[in-house]
Amino acid sequence: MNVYRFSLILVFLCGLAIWQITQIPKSTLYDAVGASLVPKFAVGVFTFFVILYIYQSLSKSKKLPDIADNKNEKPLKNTVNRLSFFLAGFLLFVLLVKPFGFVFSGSLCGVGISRSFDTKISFKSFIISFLIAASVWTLFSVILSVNLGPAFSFKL
Amino acid sequence: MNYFEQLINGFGTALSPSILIYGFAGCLAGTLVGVLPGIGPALTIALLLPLTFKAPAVAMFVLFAGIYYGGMYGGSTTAILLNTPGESSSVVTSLEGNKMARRGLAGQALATAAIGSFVAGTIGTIALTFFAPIVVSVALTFGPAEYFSLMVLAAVSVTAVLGNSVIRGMISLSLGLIIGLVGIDLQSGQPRFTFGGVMELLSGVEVVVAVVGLFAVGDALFLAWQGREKSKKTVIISPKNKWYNWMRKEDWKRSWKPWLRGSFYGFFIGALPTGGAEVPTLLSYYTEKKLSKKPEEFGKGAIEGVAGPEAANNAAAAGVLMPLLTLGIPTSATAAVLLSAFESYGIRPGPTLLTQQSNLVWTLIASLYIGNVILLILNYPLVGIWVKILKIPSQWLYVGVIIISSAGVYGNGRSSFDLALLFFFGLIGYFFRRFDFPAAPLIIGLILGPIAEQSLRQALIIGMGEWTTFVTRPISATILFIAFVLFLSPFLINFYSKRKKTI
Repeated sequence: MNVYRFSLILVFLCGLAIWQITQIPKSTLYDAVGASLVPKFAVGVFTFFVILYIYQSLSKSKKLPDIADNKNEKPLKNTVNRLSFFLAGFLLFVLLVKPFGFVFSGSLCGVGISRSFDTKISFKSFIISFLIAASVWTLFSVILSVNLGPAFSFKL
Repeated sequence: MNYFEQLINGFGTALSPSILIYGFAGCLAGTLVGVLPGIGPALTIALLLPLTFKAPAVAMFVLFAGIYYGGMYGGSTTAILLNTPGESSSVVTSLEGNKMARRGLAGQALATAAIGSFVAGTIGTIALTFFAPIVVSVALTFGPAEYFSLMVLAAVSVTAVLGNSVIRGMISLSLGLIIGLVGIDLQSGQPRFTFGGVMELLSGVEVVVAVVGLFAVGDALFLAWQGREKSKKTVIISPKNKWYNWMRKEDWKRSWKPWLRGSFYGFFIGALPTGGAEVPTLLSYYTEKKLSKKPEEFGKGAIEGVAGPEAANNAAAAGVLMPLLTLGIPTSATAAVLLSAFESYGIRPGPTLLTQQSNLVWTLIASLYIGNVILLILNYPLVGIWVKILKIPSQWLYVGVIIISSAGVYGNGRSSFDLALLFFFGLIGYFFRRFDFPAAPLIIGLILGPIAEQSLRQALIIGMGEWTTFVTRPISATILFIAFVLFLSPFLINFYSKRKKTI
């Protein structure tokens, strides 16, 4: 990923926003400011500044900031690996929280995230993640009465 | 009943044991999140928003105020001892504070920061007490057109003045606006940005999901991508050096003026629509450097360089509350989340808040006075504990942050879609941090967008559909003119500095 590729993501977001503007149905009621006026303005401003950003990223006179270019902040090797473990851990949590409950899915998520910080996947990392997830569930569900669902569940 | 009597009543409520416990818990939690890098008051308050359905408004706002003030106090501890500012507003403190600590003056640096924070927090709260009713009396003359213009000014100035680039700031702001408009339009009932009527999007994007995703998940993703942990070289304070000996006579002499100057900068700049604590802390630092009798000490650990910015930082926290409580306009990410908390109670901050919710407002202000005292007492004895917490290996710290964040979002409605959305915002947060985009404009756009649209509609209805209503009303026109000048100012400064170089 670099500034150009990030610009492409912004262009994609612009495209999505413009497409969504065309999907806003016309109101049958009279309104000084219709449902689409402010969205059109917001998307217009977004598109305009994204174009300026792309122009800046292509112009050779000014280099846009990317932390990856900074000597002191440069990432270490295996960035893709680390980000993949983070994504996998979080995805597991999203998919499993309903069928398996908060604590089990939270523990798996914890293992993935700790792996993304270069901790080896082991029984120890699972136990620490389990303890963290169980403590958070107790704090929110039992003490603060926030409904996180069951700690464990096996509904497939 | 006059404002003074209402303040006394506020003290009566704030000092009742049940509310005092909330205040104490808020200060403790706030200091903790201020100490930990990557977790700030905005995120913590956002995580606690689900609790607003369970606790009374007064108790929750006293808790939130404690978190807000505590966060400002906590940031300085790690800035001084570890050279790791917990908050962006503590960056300036670390410049001189950590140098002092390495010279064996950690006690003095911590003491001047804590006492300065107390002095400035108290001055800021006194100023808020006296100026808020004045601003309210002016704001009562405002109509929807003036409000709309004020929101434009707040959004533009936060975007143009605080960030490193107007273009990146505007991308962040407009993206926030678009996200804020997701869902059913309350006026016409039309769905907007819902991708063909995705059920979960019809009610809009929850602020808590955006804030937690941007700050907590984004930060963790960024650090995982970077894969390097900054060395945590803690400065140890000798146990023989008792806290009550930390400030010597000379330190008091060198600190009191910077505290007062910092308080002045912090409150008045914090209360402007630009808000934030970064500008007043920097201004205070450079003023102290210029006025110091020992300028050669700057860069090596000058006590004035800690006293002034820390005072400015805390006074700005009170200043930011002024436009929020009196005009309903948030000028920082934390203020934006607080506005969202008010809305979850069905309370709309603005000039009528002081009359319609006087007990809530004056209890909140009284709790700020009490919170300052609690924080002063808490800060000294707990320094050792905060430092120990920072010794937790970062992988487990971030596992905890992500699981707590997920719990805060999931507990809001037990929706897996919200968790997926949390991750989407996490990705935005990661890209923003990596490519130097400011996150605060996105949050402000997200929260102010729908409110500004409402004001725009009301103004146009009153103005019989005439768009000129915004420029024919003198106050509205002046505010829009200031917003326009502020928007152009970075480009003009850039242009003139380039021209000067070529000449």
